[in-house]
Amino acid sequence: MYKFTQQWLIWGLLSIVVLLPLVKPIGLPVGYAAETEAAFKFIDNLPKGSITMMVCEVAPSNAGEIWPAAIAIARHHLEKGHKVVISTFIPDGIMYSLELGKLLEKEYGAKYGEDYIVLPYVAGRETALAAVADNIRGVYKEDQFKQDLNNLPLWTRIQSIKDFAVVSCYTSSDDTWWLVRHIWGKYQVPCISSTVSVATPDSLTYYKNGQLVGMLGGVRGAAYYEQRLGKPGMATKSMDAQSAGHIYLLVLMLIGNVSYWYSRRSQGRRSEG
Amino acid sequence: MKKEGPILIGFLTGSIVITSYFLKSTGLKSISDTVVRWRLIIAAFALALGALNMVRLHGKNIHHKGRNWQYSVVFLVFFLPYLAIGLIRGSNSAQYQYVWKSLYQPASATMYSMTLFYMTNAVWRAFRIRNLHAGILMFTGAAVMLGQIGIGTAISPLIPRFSSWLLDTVNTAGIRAITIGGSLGIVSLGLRVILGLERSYMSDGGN
Repeated sequence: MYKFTQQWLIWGLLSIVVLLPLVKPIGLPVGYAAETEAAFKFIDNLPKGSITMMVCEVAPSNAGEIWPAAIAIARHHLEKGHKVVISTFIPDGIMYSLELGKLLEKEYGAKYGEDYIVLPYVAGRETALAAVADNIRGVYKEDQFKQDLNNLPLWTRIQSIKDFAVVSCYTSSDDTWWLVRHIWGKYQVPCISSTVSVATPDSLTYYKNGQLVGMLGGVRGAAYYEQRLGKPGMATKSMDAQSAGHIYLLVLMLIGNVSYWYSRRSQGRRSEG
Repeated sequence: MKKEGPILIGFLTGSIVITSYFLKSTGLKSISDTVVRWRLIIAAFALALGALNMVRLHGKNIHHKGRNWQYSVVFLVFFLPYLAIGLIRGSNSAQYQYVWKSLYQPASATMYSMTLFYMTNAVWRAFRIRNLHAGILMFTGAAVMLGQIGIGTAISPLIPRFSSWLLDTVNTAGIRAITIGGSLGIVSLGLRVILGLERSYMSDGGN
């Protein structure tokens, strides 16, 4: 009964701590993120009309962290007059790719085929990405809507992966590694990666090596990007909840250790007695 | 031939793809591209095979009233109509997207969100300073967590600097070591497959 009460108390407090900032945002500061600043500056400096690729590996399980990043970067591309080709190598990703396209049409009046294209899902994960890097026209013949890609004006400007000014990826998996291996390593096309927080330390090494031109780590990276863009969105709101959650976990750690040391001391005294 | 066939295919495809990576030959690259595209077709077939296998497995479980057979019924009740919608109407259709948005997306997001509660339990139970190693783990974990949120800077500007140092120096060194070690392992495994020494990918392990 004791354990049940304690567990439910911890979970109940956690729910309150995380939910409250979502309902009423506190506006906790988002710390400086050099890797995200680098990504922002790189995209900001791309010339108008540059063709970019967004690898949308977003799924419901990771959307909370990387979907806001995808939206922020897509908005940035359109604001700067870039063209966007959206691709995915996971089945769930296609839904988010379509959603991203709709958002671009709604907010920026983007025209399908001219300003953006949605490519269909290709099975094979890393091999699929490698195939796209080696021969994009060999892999894709039709878009997601079964239209011949050659009929789309934007596609006629693309002959190989080298035609992209930047490839950005939104992932909770090893896609960053694949980008570095197949797109940067072989063709020196600049890459940006947006990852979930747990994958950030892994991906950060590639940014430090100069194999990524920028990085967005978890909600924090996305929130920083939103603020840099001057369009606070989902990530900025979530950042408050995440910060509150982290503080709560730190308090739990502290209480847990104090109670642990107290119980050890009591045990020691009993055994001495 | 049952053994030699897969070894020969492994040798030829492996050699072509690896050689084309290092040599600038248009002909070789074209063959390599074709081989890589074959892999995409195989992956697509694997998905279909996986779906068929799921239906067979759960169908069998229901037929034999196996362990938790009720869950198999639930699976098939949702899987088969969704598959039918996808095959008949396509993934761009309003029907397919309705099921995805109203059922799959919230269910999947909820499943993932639940891990937060388990993580909280783990923090409460596991992060105890029982010895020096546990102490270091807790201290660095707390520093990185604080460094990730703006409030860390508000407490002391040293916290994000220390957190960055941990991520940039200690973490980078560790991850690089693991990545290089893993990559060398992949290279040696690839070589073993090409040379026919590694046969565990065959159904009977090549025996």
